[in-house]
This record gives sequence, C-alpha cells and structure tokens, in this order.
Amino acid sequence: MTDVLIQILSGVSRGMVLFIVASGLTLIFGVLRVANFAHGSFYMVAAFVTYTVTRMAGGGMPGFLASLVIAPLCVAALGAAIEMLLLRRIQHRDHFYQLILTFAITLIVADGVKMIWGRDYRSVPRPQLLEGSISIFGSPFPSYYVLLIVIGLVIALALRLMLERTRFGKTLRAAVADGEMVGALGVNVPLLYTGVFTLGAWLAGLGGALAAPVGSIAIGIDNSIIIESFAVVIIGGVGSVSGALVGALVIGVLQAIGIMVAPRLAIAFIFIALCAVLLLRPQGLLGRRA
Amino acid sequence: MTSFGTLTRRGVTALLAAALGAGAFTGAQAQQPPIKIGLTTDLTGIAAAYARGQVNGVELAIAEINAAGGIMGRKLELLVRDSQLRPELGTSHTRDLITREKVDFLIGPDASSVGVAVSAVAKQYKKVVVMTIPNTPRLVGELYHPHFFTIVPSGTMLARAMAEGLDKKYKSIAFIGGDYEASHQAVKYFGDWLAKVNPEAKITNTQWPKLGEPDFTPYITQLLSSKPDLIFSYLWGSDLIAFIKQAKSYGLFERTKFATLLFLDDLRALGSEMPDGILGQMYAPPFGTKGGKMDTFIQAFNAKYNAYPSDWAVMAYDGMMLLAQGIKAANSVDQEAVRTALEGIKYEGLQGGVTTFREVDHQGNVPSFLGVTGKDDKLPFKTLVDIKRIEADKVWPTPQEILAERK
Repeated sequence: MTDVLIQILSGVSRGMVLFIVASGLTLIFGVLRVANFAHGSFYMVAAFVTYTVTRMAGGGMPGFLASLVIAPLCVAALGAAIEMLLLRRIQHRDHFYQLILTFAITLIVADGVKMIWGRDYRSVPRPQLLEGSISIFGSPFPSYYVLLIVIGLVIALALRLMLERTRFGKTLRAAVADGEMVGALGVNVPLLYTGVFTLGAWLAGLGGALAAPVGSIAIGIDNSIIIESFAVVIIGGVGSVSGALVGALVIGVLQAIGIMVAPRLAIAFIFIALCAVLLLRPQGLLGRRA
Repeated sequence: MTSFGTLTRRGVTALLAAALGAGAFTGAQAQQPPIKIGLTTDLTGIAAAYARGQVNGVELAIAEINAAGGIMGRKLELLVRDSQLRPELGTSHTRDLITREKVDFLIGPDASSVGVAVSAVAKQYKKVVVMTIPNTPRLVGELYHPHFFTIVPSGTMLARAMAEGLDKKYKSIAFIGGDYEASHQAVKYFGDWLAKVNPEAKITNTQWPKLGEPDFTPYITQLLSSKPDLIFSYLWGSDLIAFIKQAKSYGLFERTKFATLLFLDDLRALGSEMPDGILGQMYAPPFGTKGGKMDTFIQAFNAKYNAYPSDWAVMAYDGMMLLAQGIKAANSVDQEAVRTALEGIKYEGLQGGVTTFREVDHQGNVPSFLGVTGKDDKLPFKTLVDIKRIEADKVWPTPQEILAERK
C-alpha cells in the first residue's frame, strides 16, 4: 500500500515540474495563439544556465537559490527578445509561419547551447539539505521532491491570484476568451503579448532550473519536455492554468501507476489519455468550447 | 583566352614546385603520398563525447607513428567525417571517403547502428575496417565479412561477463535498461549465462524506460518494491546519470546492490556524486591496467589533450596501432595483404597481453572489466577499485554459436 502511495507521490512531483513548464505554454497558446515549440528550448537553456550558476557558486544552497533566480530571468529575457524581434513581425501572418518560426528557434537554440556548453551531458548536484529523504509510513521519499510539490502548489496559487486579482491577469484572461475584443477595447495588445510571452518563458525557465538537479542536463531534453507539455495543454484545455495543473498531475500519476501495472505500456499511457480527451472532450478537461 | 592563361600559370607553378621539391628533398621518400585512414564517427548526437575520445585516441596514435617516420616511409593521414548517429550518413560518408578521398583503410565508427552501416560499405568495397566502439553481436554474427575486425568486447561478451563476474549470493535480480535493441539483447544473454553459472538466480523484475527518460522515480520505486538482491542496469550516459541521482534519494544504493554498464564519461560527469560500492562494468578503462604502456599512454594523452583518456580513447589508440602493425607486417597497403596480416597479428597493446583475432568472426580477444566504484586520490572523479579482468575466451560465443547465428 505504501508502495502505491510513494509511486503516486513521485508521479505528483514529476507532474509539478511539468505543470510549471506547461502553464507557461498554455498561457502563450491561449493569448498569442502560437504553438510555441521553442518552449522546450527555454527549459533546456535554463537547465544549462543552472549548471553554470551552481558551478560558479560552488554548489550548495547559495548556488541553488541563485540559480532559481538567475536562470528563469535569463530565459525570460530571451523570451522577451524573441517575442519583440521575431514573433511580433509575423503576428498577422498565417499560424503556419509562426509554427515554422518557433521550430526554427528550437534548432538555433539547440546549436547555440552546443556552442556555449558543448555536447557533453552535465549534472547539477542538489544542495546538501535537500539531498536526503523523509520517511512516509516507513518508506523513504526524496526531500527534493517534497520541495518540488510545494513549489508547484505555490506557483499554481500565485498564478491563480495573478489571473483573478490583477489587472494584467484580467486582461490576460479576456485575451484568452476573445483577443480581438480586447484590442478593440483599447488594451495595448503588443505589450500584453510581450508580457505573456515573457511570463511563459520565465515559467519554462523555472521548470528547467528546478528539474536540473533531478536528472541529467543534455542536448535533447528540450524535445522530451515539449511533447509532454503539449499533451498537458491539450488534456487540460488551451489557455487554462488550472487545466494545466490537472493535466500535468494526470500525466505524472498515470505514468507512475502505468509503470506499476504494465511497465511495458507505461510510455503509451500518456498518449492513451491524450486520445481519450481528444475524442471525448476535445476542448480539454477544463477548457472552454470555442 | 583566360583559361589558356590560367593553364600556363598553373603549369609554371607546377614546374617551379617540382624544381623546388627536387632541390629540397633528394630521397624517393619525399614523393610518397600519405597512407589515408578514414574515420566516420558520431561527432554530433548523444554519443558525441565518445566520438571525441575516439578521434583523439586515433590522432595520438597517428602522431606517434608519424613522429617515428611513418610506415614504409609514408606518413599516415586521418580523415574524419561526422555521421551524426545516422546510419544513412555513415554509409554516404564512408562511401565518399573510399571513392573520392581514396582512403586506404577504415577505422571504426561510434554507435552500433552506424557501425552496421559502415561495415556494409567496407564489405562492398572490400576495405579493411577496424571497429573500436560499435559492439552489436550482429557485426560478428550475420553481418560478418572477411575485411571486418573488432577490438571491442561484443554485447554478448559483456552481458555474459556481467553474469560471470557476479557473486553467486545474488539470487533475485531486477533489470532496468533503455527500451531499445541492445538492451533487450543484453538481458537475454545475461539471463542465459546466469542460468549456466548461477542456476538458482532469477530475473524477477524488468523495467524498460525509454531512451532519454528524464524521470526515473516511478521505475526506481517499482524496482525497489520487488526487493531484489541486485539490480542489473543497462543504462548509460545521461540516462545512467539521471537514474543514479534520483535513486540516491530513495536510498536505493543502501537497500540493494547495483550493477551497471559504466563508461568513463559517466564517472567524469558525476564526479563526487557517484556513490561508492556500485558494481561497474567497463570496456577498457585506463585505470584497469597498471603500469607499462598504459601509463605512458595516459601521460601522452594528458599532455596532448589535457584530459584523462576514456575507454574509447584507449580502444581507438589500440585499434590504430594494431592496424599500423598490420600494414607494416604486410609491407603494403594492399587490402588482401593487410587482411591476412591482421588475421595472424600478435599485437601487444595498452591493456597488456597479446591481442589476436580469431578466424571465425575476427573478434579480438579483448578483456572487459568489473569493479566497485570508489575514490582514487590521483583522479578528480570516482574510479573502480577491486578490478576483475574478465578474459574474452571465458565469455565469447563459441565458433559453433557464431556459425549458428549466421544461418
């Protein structure tokens, strides 16, 4: 029984990183109507920046905290630049062009990462304090994963407050519902777009920085995260942050349980869930019907 | 008119060059063209770090050979191409090296999938190829051809060596490996050999994460829930690093024994994060052989590249030196002469002992190594202590088995 609980918790912790990344993607998708393939690149760049920052700070808690601040900010700046210099220029063209553009950015960023950090895989140590594990009914559960779950919940709450209580959030939600109308009402749409894209990139960066001490950092982590993030967005519903939370948890837990029940099919579980949602509720679990 | 002018100018330049050349060098040696060695390898992709070690190893060997006057008075020249871990590029680059660059010999690529492609081209053009990283059993099995030579322990040999080297006290064994061909083969060969050397042992649990899986935690809890005596891993590179880091916080290494395929690059990447007491299986670690040629090699490699050599550099250096010895023995660059020379070669390499190729599959009698991770004060990363060297003849498939595979 404890095994099942630990399995579910590890699924939840994995889902939390996915949620942080996918919430950024879903906001960009919802407001700018851009399927941002470069989102995975933001995640990867942040992971590599985390590597550099923790190395320069000599590991330990200060390095870890510094990387959590610096890496998402670097990526947010990169996101803002991409939105203002590139995406904005083809905003009124067909969606097809935006797809190609964001895809091109993934290739350019991947080559850039190769040039700056090389092709080797890297590893970021966890701070000593988070290295160990806590005991849940006698079974160990990594304390770093507890932190991931807590940060995930904090981000979910913060995004919710931001969306409901702030002017930016209200405009943002209005833009998800009807972008044209928001423009007609005199909102500075280009500024809104840059803001949302930057926020989205920051979230991807935070996900990358948080995931860095868990796994290995290598060229190609951008691809694996982007596929899962799109699955989250589709399952949760485009533009819905709560949907992203639900979708990410569904994917995280489904996969964890899948490995337990039918290990050979575990990889398929995400896509089965994806197909089920597309067939039965195409707008996503918490999405609005267009 | 222009073309006529150019021609004349070119003619004059050639004459001048010839005159200068004749003045500068008197021996016939100076006119000898270099012996060209073609290396197609995956400089891009997940196995790129291995390819770099390989290129460095071959380069170092060639530099030493050339410094000693080359072979038959001819220098060696290395041509490197990037196959990007794509078999079709492996094919086209190798073909181009042979037909356009007129390379004399090929030295092995990186990934096994590209190795299969390169071997096929070598077969087509009847070019001698020495493999130094690819090790799918198919290369010595159904894909074997007389111009193919390998100094890499094959997948079969490694999986069997792992089963051979494990203590008999491990009865319940769990397996985790990336969901791809080599890993499925490995668990099969491992299981077959285990049934022979330790019949009471059983593989109780198998896990197949996808290659490049970022999160192994569900697999880790699942492996632990079956309470195995030992976990055998066929994870490598960034997958192994992610797994080890995540497994540490579950206390996996205190709760069960962990045995894994291990590359020097992984030891280097993990640094002090690598737990002690892991059973590691390695191809050709420099620290696996004490003294002799290996020490000289480590120093020379460090002097040239400011790095400690990887398994791949060791095998690449040996592969190139061995090929050179074959060319010397044949005293010619004729493919059949060199092939015959290699078939009868007795090469004394970095890892001690004498390397020979057996007739049935041109598999070199190379060892593999099993040890326990631990600290060595001389190295900035963890190393293997208590190293067991497992000789090829203990674990390689018999000629009958090889022939049966080819049917």
